[in-house]
Amino acid sequence: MGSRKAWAAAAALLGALPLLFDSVLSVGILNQMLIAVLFALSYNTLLGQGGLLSFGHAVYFGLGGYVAAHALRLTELGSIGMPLVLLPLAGAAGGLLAALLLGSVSTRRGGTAFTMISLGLGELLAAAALILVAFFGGEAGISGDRTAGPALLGVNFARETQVYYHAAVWVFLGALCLAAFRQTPAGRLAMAVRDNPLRAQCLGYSAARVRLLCFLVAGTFAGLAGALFAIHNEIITSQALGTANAGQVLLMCFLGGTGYFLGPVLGAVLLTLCSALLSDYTTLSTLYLGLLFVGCVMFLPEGLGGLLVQLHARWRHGRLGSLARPLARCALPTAALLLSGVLLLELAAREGEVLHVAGLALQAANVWSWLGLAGFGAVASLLLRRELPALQAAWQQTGAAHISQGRP
Amino acid sequence: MADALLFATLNGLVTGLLLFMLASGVTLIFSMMGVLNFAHASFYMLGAYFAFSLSQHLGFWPALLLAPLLTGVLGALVERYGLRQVHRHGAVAELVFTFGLAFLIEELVQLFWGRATQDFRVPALLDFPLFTLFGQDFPAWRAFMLLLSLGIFAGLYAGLTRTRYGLILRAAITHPQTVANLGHNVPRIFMLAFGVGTALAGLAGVIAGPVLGTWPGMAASLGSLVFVIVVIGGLGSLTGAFVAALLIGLLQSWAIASSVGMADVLALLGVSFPPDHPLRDLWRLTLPQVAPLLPYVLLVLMLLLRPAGLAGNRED
Amino acid sequence: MSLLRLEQVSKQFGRTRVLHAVDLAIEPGECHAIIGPNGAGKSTLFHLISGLLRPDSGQIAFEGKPIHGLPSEQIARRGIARSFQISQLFTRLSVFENLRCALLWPMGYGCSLRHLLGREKALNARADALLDELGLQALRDVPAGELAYAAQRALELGLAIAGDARLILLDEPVAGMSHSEAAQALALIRRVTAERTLLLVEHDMSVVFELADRITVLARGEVIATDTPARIRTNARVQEVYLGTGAGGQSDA
Repeated sequence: MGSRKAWAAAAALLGALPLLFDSVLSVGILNQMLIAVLFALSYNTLLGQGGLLSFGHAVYFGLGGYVAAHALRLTELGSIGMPLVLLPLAGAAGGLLAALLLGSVSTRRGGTAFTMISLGLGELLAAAALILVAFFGGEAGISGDRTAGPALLGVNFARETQVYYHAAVWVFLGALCLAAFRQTPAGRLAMAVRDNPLRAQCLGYSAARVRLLCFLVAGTFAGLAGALFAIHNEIITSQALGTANAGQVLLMCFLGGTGYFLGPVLGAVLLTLCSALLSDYTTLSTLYLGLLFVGCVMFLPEGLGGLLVQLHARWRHGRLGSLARPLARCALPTAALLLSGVLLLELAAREGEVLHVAGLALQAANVWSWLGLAGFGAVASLLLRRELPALQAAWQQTGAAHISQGRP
Repeated sequence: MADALLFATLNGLVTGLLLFMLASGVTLIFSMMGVLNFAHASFYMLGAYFAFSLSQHLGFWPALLLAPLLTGVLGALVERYGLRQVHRHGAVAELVFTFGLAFLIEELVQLFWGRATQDFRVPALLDFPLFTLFGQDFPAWRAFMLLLSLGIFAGLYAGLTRTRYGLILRAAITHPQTVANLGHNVPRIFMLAFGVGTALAGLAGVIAGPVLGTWPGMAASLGSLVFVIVVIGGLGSLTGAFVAALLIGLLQSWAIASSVGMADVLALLGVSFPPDHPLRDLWRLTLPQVAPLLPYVLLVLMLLLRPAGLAGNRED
Repeated sequence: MSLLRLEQVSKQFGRTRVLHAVDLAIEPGECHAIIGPNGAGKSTLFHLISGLLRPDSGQIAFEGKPIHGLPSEQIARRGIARSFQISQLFTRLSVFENLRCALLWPMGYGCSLRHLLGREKALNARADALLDELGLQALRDVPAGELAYAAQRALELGLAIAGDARLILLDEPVAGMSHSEAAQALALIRRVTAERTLLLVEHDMSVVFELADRITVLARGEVIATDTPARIRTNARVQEVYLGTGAGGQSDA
């Protein structure tokens, strides 16, 4: 079976990654990536599979994390002796419990109503977290020492790679479960309810019940991811369950493509990499991510994953060649346009500093720097406008050919 | 006690009307295009920032006029070149687009104006206490806010019910296809309505900026509250949004002014808890403390008891 | 005992009276057609029976037990399936997946988390058999949203007949089809609904008179007559309100 090979390859990759990137810093980034992947997969169970757009999914991630952090702290204090490898289960249980409590209120209706309730509950929990200091720890959050628990087979999780492999096993299992959920009757019915709740009801399925089930699964695995987050950072604060974190996971799913199981994985990996690497070079990394997000929603509704699938389909039918020429003609003006946009923004962000690019010294105080960049961008966009129709036409054409070939 | 109640009520009214200025735009846009505009409060923020920058060059009063106009034009452009493009990808994509836009506007505001609170002040002309009661001042600016927002509603109401444009707009809300068949340019009507809605938000920003603070978080601080109002009022109902906005404005203001806490309730019941009780935070809660939570609690209660909202009849 | 019995069922929307004191009895095994001019309340009647709307007053009983006021999924589970006038499909799922989803409840899977669909041989075999029956085998893996109109209607019918429903409601199954398509659809309906009880709303009179054992005429929310096709043709009141002067007209009013 093909999918079995794919899972084996994924496991091998997970095992090999820290050997290839073995600095403490890169293992830390890999760890963040793993957590983001599971969180995004759980979120896409709601969004892509169940058609439920939530702005409060971070609540379940955060609560799972808090449960795990409390367990860590209690273990450190010696009140309980919970081995670290079981903490994710506690987090998952926390996520499930929270989803059960809040989901029974919020999944009665789908669509916009669900979205609004998820936002309201998210804000409520985030605000409550600042008030209920005993559980949420106020501004300082809850912290614990992951090495305090009983060591298993001599592994005490003092080293970053040990934490990585621990997380990798859990994320792999979680992804496996979520993939399997798509193949179960309940998981498939979630897609059916997403497409047409009225029809699902007239076939004997309660749309609210199916939505709740989907919600519970998503909440459980978000809690699991949250626990891994708490273990990795050894601290969790109320930021983890805020709307900013919820927005982040939405961005990951849209970037990667909500229509594919692997879409969120792609989005999570890319976004974690971007935020980790971009912040070294610019203070505007969040602005760029926002631009990327909006651009993605506008021009790539199926996400990067959708783009890759489309490209793959064209490649399989040997039609990628006819795209190469128009693509090449668009590449230069696109790159120039992006460059001028980035430089304009950077210039705006650095008052008083001098920006050295290709032998030119750009300065915010100098009008000619602005005008020159704007002119450069304008020329690039004019060129792009001239070349773009050819690319669009070629794209349509190759796509149509592939469809007619696929359907006799 | 009476003085505190009076001032709390007046302040609550001001906040409520301000919230309705935003909620009315969201409601208008939602009933027309079926899009909940998450970025609406961001236009409110832009209004405040535009007014701040303009007032430094032109003085406050021209800015009061120009900033909302600028915001409205920007809103119309966003509809024309952003939302209309995304519309083809479905409702979820539209919602997500406006969410991304809100994020983006906040980042841009930080880029151009920085993270600090701007020194946007009430114009000298209105910077005096209007009346003093029980030793407390009521600023003239708040009275101006109250009057201006009431004036705007009167104008909006008259415009929607009495003018030709208002008539076409109301028809386009419920029957866009029919209106298009009658030869009206529905996309342009949508664009205009979006522009008017965002201009209103901008105006709200101009008058709120000097009192509530002009800072990058001002959109987020009001944004979700506006949504709570729209949902409590019943998605798509202007009257419902009006009632809900006043309700929430008053409720929060009263809660902040009060000094009642759980401790008082417990004392009344004769119950006491040890100070190191695990739920100690719950027993020590005071009403001013939970004031920011009240709207959300109200939202959840509403959805449990009356899912369609105060005046809603929409089912989805 | 009648399979389905409506007694004095009324429904109003605001001040508009849509159905008024409707009595109707569907006998096991028959094909019963409901006809009437536009706005007669036919679709509302279907919504009431299938639980999408609740009657203001009156009773609806299926196999002797009251079903009015039950949510639509409960009614479906008791054995009433329906099709829609405007196709209601799972647009992003394939044709095969659509049918498989329709089979999950009747075959006892429900919202199970324990089964993996790929391993359930009996389920998949039955969905494939249904595909053959509907003539949709060639379109097996096409998303339902991308189907041509006639194929969408065939799938819509397929979703209604997939389970073992004892009563099937068909809402204008051939509306919007060309003559040849309608003839094909008619043959399909005959084939897949043999031995089952059928309640049908249809504007195309040729279809109605060919399929129906009995016909109920509805006008302005009231039942005017219930009788055999032959006697409906000659019923004076029916001709007056519905068929105009010439009996047996081919098109709708």
